[in-house]
Amino acid sequence: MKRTLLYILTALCLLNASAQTLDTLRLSTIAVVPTQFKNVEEFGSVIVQEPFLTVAELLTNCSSVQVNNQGGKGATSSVSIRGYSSNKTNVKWNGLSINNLTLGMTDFGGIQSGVVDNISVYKGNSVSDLNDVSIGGVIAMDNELNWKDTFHFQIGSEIGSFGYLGNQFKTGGLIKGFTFQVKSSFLSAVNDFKYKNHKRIGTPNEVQENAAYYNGNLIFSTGWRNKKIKFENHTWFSTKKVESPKIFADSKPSVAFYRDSSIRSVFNFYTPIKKVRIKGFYGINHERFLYNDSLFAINTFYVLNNNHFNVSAKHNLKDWYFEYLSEIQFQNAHNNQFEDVKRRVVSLTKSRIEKRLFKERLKISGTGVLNKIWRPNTVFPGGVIAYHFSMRQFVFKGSGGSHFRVGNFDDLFWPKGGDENLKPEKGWNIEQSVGYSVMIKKLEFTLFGEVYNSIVNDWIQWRDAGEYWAVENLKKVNAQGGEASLEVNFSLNEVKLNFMSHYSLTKVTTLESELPNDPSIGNQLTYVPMNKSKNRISLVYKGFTGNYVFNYYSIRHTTTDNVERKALASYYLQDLHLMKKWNVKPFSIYSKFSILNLSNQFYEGVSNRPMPGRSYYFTLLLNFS
Amino acid sequence: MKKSIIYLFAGTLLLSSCKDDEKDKESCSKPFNFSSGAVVINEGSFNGTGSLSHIDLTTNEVRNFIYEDANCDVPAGSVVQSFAINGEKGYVVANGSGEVQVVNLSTFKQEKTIVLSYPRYIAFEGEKGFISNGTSEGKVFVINSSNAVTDTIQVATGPEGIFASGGKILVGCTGHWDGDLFTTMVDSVVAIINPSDLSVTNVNAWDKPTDFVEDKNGDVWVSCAGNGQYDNGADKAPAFVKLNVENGVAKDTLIVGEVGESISKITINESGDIIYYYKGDGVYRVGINGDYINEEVLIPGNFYGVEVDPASGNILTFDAKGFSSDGVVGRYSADGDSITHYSVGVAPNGALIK
Repeated sequence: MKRTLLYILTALCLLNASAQTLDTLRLSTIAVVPTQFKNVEEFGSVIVQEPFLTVAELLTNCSSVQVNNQGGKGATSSVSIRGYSSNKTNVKWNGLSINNLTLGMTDFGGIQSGVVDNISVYKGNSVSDLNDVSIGGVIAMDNELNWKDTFHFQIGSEIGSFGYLGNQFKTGGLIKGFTFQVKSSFLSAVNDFKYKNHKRIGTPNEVQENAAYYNGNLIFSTGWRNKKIKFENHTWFSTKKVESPKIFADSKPSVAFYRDSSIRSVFNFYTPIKKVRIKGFYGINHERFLYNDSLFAINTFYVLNNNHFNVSAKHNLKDWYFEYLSEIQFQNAHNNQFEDVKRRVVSLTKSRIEKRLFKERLKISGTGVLNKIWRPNTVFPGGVIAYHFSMRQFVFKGSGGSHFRVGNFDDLFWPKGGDENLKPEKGWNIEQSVGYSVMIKKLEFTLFGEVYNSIVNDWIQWRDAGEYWAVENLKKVNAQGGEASLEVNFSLNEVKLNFMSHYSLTKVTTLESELPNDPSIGNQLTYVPMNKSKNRISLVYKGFTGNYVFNYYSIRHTTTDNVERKALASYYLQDLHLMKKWNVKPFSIYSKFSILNLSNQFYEGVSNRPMPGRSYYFTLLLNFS
Repeated sequence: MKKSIIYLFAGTLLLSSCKDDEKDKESCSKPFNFSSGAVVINEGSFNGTGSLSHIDLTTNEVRNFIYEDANCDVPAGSVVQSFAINGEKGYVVANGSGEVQVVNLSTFKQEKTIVLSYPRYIAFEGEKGFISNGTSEGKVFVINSSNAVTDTIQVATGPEGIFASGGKILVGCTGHWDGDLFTTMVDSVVAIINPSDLSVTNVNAWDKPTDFVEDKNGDVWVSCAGNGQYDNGADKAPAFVKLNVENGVAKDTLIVGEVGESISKITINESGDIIYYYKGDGVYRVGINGDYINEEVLIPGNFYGVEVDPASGNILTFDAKGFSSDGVVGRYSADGDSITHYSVGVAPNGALIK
């Protein structure tokens, strides 16, 4: 390792010597979009500099998001927002719903953030800002076409511990109103890290086996526009293979693995009709999945399709703003566990009106929605009222409304135990936030606080029904909590200092249950830490940027009755990053050296799953524009 | 001379570090002496580890995590399926981990690990132990008095319950999972193993023979689950088959439910004339002469195991409570009247009572 470090330092020095222009790196902070009714956290600037990060790694920076990892690079990672389980987080790629239809969730472990240009996190019901009435929140991944640059390309590699290698290539350009972008990324990791197995007699040192990961992506984006119309297409080919390593308690390596491949494509069409802006959208998500465990003769496969259409219209009239959307999704799943191909149709109709007052310092929005599902046959009307008020350095936001989620295909169509007439989960949430920014001499302070409370009725859960497992609407669940953050910026000559600290409190409990003597009543939901703190200090000096990250997670229970001894211990993780960027026009070179889990902390992302200790990564990106 | 001093110094260091390790092990270990009562088998939650609890059936005191306590917090493994004893040794069978942990019953400290692929149950006859390994390969492994695997016996697929009776070992072969067809290819064979020459005689019983008890006449009753949700065919009700072990003949078959229902673990009272079993709605009983056959449920509830305390004749029920929180052991009189309840580990499936 010492030799590797020496090479890296030598390379950095050489690059420094050859640089004609010294450039200071922008601090890649998470942007909170100010104009929306929700406090949306955006990661566009982080992705530019760190396209090799997986989406799961990226989202660990978000204090209201809990990422539960099952191992090293690319291992399955589920994401939950505000403590709600991962199937209550809706994931959209360029507006297309990409949640897995059978499980209802998305595995973020293997998706590299560089496959998109921006990732936004919406917490809670987001229908005021997006077309989604999600319970937990929405993670929106978007590709953005560049209508300004004539030609650009980026090529980069990242190497790291445990047999990790990543390569990315991106190019694009603009010719007579036609723009295109091609992105490709390939990641592989052996994940053969060592760990001390504290769940076996003698706590032996073991090496992780059957944990390799491979992921390849190719994304084409094209667009054309004139004065009247604009057309866009994004198409994403993706494939991955993930081996499932053994758990702590296993005596032998696992032989299980899964393969997942998908083709996703979206078409957008924009045109104004008089003063009304019209947008038409069609998207398709085609997924194929295979899980194989030859030891236990398990071979599960499925093919999923989601055809997604919508049309929306937006119109301004003085201080009034109107929005209308009509959306329909045709979903089907061919699963070797189902008796035949299962189909479902889901639609959403949304009308929104917004009034802007006091020179747009106050915005009030009212949204009405109608969800219609044809299988199970359900109609769910709802709505959200939201406001946004800015006064001097303060920004206040608040909203209240209903939310809704229909069961996934396994819930509805599992041969025995599934229920086609299962009621959707529904409920309401309210939230209130305040942001404050002030400059005192050379110190810039940004403070933010948010509280929320939400209820979910008819919580969907599988239970032991004696002869088999069956799904039912069993509980009333309450999530409440708050977030607070402080950011301080300081600049003096060549020195820039940034400090960020986030804290979140998340309490998710069962209020009522159909289960007799349900032990979850009053207790914290499993795998949700009540307290989390995420902190970062960044220093920029003479073209170098250094980041030190310190994140803390309180204990997470693995049993619904919160037995302390079965809980996963609290832990903290420290990371260190050193970055440098050189501009040698028309090129720019970006390099980064990272040490993750600096203190070699032992922790479990998910019960019984070993996690890697200290690891090292080196990134080099070359840009031409 | 200098080299000798270095060696001596290094040796002393090594010895002192070994002593420290031993001290550490001693200080973190809380031994448990199993002399009487019930050791409850807790399978553990999904992705978690199983545990063992102890109930003193006289004082009603419960002690959880007895294995972890005795072994410095190291669990016995994932999905602890069964527990058996032979002489001074206990055998904790964890099928998720693919291991059998051998413990000293006076301390519960682990002494040896037997590694297999999918061990389910263990039974002893003479000097030998027999472990059913529930895969499609259909293997029963034989261990000697040193707990070393000495032989492998081929039986039908999916060996499950294993039982010693009349100097023979009986194995219920339930079939195997066919991943391509996504169904269980059900078997109905009870393999009777002769421990002396390890020869096998197969007896056709009923679909999915799972568990065994011996009645007061020396006949063995086999609980057969019948065809269930994911089974090929799926059209057979659960049943008991009465076997004569000596001549390997199925003497009688008693159907105890409807198609779609199933039974698995069974137990018998001390006098050997009433068998207790459970279905989706609770515990039932049946006399060996057919008494109570059409009776209503004796103890209503959703159970995952049933045992009888031979000393008191009380029935113990095991409620897994959704498999994600501490389970409950219920104690009832032989007539089904509730006496008390005990909180144990996650997903209790049965107990060994001494």
